Amino acid sequence: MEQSIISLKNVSYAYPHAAGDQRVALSDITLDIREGEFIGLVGANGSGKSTLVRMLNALLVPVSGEVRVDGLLTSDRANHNRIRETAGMVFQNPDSQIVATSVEDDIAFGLENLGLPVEEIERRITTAARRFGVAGLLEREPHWLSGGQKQRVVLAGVVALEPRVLILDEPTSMLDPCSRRRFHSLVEDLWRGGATIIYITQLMDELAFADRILALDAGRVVFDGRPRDIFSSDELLERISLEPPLAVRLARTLARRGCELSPVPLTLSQLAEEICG
Amino acid sequence: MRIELDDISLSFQPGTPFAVKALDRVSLMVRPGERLAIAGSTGSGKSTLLGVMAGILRPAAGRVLHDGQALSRKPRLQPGRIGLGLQSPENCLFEKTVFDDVAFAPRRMGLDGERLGQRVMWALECVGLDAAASATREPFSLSVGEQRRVALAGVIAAEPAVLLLDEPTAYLDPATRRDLLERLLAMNDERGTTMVVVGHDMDELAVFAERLVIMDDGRVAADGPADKLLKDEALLERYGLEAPGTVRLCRLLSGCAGREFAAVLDEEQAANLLQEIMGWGPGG
Repeated sequence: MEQSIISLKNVSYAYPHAAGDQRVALSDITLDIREGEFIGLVGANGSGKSTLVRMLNALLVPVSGEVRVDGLLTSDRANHNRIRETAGMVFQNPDSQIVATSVEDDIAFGLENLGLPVEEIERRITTAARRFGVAGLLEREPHWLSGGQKQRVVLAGVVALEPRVLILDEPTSMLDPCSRRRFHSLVEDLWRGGATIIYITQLMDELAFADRILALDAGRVVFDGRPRDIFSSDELLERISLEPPLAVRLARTLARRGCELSPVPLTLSQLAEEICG
Repeated sequence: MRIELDDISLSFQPGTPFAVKALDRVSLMVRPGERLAIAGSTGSGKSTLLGVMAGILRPAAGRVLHDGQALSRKPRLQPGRIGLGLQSPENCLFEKTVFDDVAFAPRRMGLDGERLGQRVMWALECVGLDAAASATREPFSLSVGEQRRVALAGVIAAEPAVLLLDEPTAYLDPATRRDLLERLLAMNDERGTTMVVVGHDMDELAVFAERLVIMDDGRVAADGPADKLLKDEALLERYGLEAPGTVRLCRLLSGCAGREFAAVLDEEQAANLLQEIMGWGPGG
């Protein structure tokens, strides 16, 4: 059997709050993620997505149950450095992740912590900056960049570390459509190169090529399967506040009017091909 | 309220080697009751433009007029006139409970007691939060998506004449997005609230906007009726934008069906078109 890079066993978590404001963020989650999988993580605001991914690089440890990353238990502090080298994370709000006073230093920060040789650090900064279109911003102060530019700086900084697992928490929410498309093809390249990707998004269009979708509702996994299958249950979609992509919505409208398309197209190109084919 | 920008220029870090022209001789008028969307690639000046409109960023050159009145050098923000929703609004939360945070502006406007309560509950419902359950919670115990909704509710709660919103739907789940857009449309329709919204999702803008301004490198690159500009795929692509899904579909269909289809923005119309092709094409 293939090795799991991440495994969760009966994981539960509740944020510590003032009395009366106890809310369970994760409830008895058991799942395995194999190396090289592309996982789309979806669910309504407040369903536990960000809490779940914080478990995967030991920013949070379970109240009960256990999480292992590449076999290492996250509850053991001694493992934390190695776990965080394995699993790199891009947060929702880029401001919470920018530490340096120049873009170049910001991308260098993680690399220096890994103790890499200077030439290697420089090589990786140049490559990452070019990939994410921030090469022209290296000397700028991050504080003065636009929201979308900051998001690209943060992505460059994490990808430069070449983590085996890349956790992306709504990474394109502030990107313009063109940068978003470029970002998708970059993530796809990393995935085809063997990286494990865990991708949180509200946009199903971003997950067309995911192997597997996990859907959370009130801290529980309510769906674990192929992207195609998640659209078959209206009740489920409503529960997780998810909207099917345009191609699926149009196919459904046609079905209601008596023209079934089979298989149900997930992308506009698939839809056009089926219609014209 | 009418907002006029007259030949506005603004640089960040001026006089340093890092000086960047954020706005470059921008002139623009927002008419009362208008629904205007601003799009453009990252760093094109969209957020800066909103800040200047609101009067919180002072331009280096040019004039900003609110209802014909030039803004003074230190304009006082008046709740009830302009509501500004920032890009990461969760950074603006500061009160101990969700209720108090949303009530901040209405209180300053003199609301109290039952009227205040109703206003806060209405604003929370506008952003899809369960008002009764969330009002007593601590804002910082919420997820980022929920925090954004609370912050947005705080802006809406003042019932301003003008709403300036910077990517208000980023991080919201699709059901909440749709709901929020509908509420904004209703506020525009019923109260005549002027809306200026920065966004990247052209499908959303197609539903929401009457007029679209495309920014490029600190300048206004295009300004016109949204339904016209959103069908112009070449124009949108030139400025790093993507046409709405229905427009892209029409282009794909034109490519593979061997005849030209005019772009549509409406899903029903797109479905009609598909049906027509299936009936018309081979095997239909």
